[in-house]
Amino acid sequence: MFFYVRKFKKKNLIYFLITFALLLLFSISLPYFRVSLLNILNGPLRIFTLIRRELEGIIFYHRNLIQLEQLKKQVDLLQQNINTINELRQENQRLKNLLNLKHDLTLKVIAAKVIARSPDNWSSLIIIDKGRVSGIKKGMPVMSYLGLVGRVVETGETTSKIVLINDPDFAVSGIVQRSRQEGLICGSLGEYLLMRYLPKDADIQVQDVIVTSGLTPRYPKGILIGRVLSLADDFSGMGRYAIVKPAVNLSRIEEVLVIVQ
Amino acid sequence: MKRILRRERVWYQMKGRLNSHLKNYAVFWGIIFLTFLLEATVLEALRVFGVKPQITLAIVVIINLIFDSKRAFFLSIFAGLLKDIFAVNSFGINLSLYALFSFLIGRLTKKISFEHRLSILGLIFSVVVINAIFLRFIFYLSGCVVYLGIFLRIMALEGIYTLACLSVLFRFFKLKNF
Repeated sequence: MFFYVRKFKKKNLIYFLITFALLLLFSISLPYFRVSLLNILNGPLRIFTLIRRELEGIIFYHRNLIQLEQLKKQVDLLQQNINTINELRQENQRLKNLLNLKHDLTLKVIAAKVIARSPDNWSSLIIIDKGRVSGIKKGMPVMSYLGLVGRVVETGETTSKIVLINDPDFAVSGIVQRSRQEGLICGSLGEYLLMRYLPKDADIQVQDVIVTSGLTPRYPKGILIGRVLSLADDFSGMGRYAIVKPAVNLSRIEEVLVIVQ
Repeated sequence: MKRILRRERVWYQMKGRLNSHLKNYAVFWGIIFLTFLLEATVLEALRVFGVKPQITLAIVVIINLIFDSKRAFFLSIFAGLLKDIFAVNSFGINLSLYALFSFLIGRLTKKISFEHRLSILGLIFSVVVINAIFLRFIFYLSGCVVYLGIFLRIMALEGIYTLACLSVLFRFFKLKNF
């Protein structure tokens, strides 16, 4: 037994000490270290992202072709809707002016391209090609043209790390657009989101639209999150939760908008 | 016929050359870096039910079977370090896990011989599953909720997908030669 312990000390204690020292060093110098490495990896990641896009184009050629046809039809339909919306906007503007209401501030955004994704299946994050140089800071919300995407968790000189809304580390306050019922939108690593902490008598239905409530700091009010897919009672039986389908297809994001102001 | 024979000879020469290169320790640093880049970019296109294979982790296991414990340990730390660049958590989770796996596999190989392809695949599957369990435990401690159903789905799929990818790779690289 003593021999075994001695042997263990001699051989393996060195490994343990090295690991421990490395871990300590790593955790202390982590933010600077990680950001520098990310900046170095910017170039190779861009090249590999290009390869991925080409590969996807080849593999999913037929699907893309069908999708293109469908989207063309959809564009025609949406064009008509845009015309109607423009009319309504002008009318709304006239009415607002009549009521002397304050104009809503438009969002100042920075567009960025996705250059990499999380290499494992246990987190949901992306790396974008814009960083501190472009004015991106930690904690800024990120969206796409379709809705909320996530938030900035780390920034380098030319790259930033973004946690997506389906990551278990992400949470934002949301409201049901129709009934103004509040809840907490959380990621679950899966395809869908969870809207938690809903009271038993919450006014929420399937297909309801969920938007940001503006209660979480930095997140502007009214950004689209998704639609309610189903409702269920939580384990305690005290409240309910809703399963929400995100408005953005998180596995296919290529460009994002970082909300700066 | 001659052409086919010649093509086969070239193919075997290429396979042999690749296998001899794989013996080189330095090459594995490059392989780990390359697989990491692939996992972060190209493999995204090959997700099955939202899950992609854990090639880097599988290569870490293979490295620990090929090289002596010291060399394998440093390579494992390098792989963990690369993974931690993309991690959200502030602590080096992957670095510590990969170092732990290296240590454990090093101890295991002294008692059990992994020569048959199936035993290697079994070991890789076990490591992928254990890695998932450890990560869920760490998530739990840090207050992140990963539901059991989602966890089991991802764990099973990533294990099977990794094995499927490695079975294809093993057709090209003979592990018993090392």
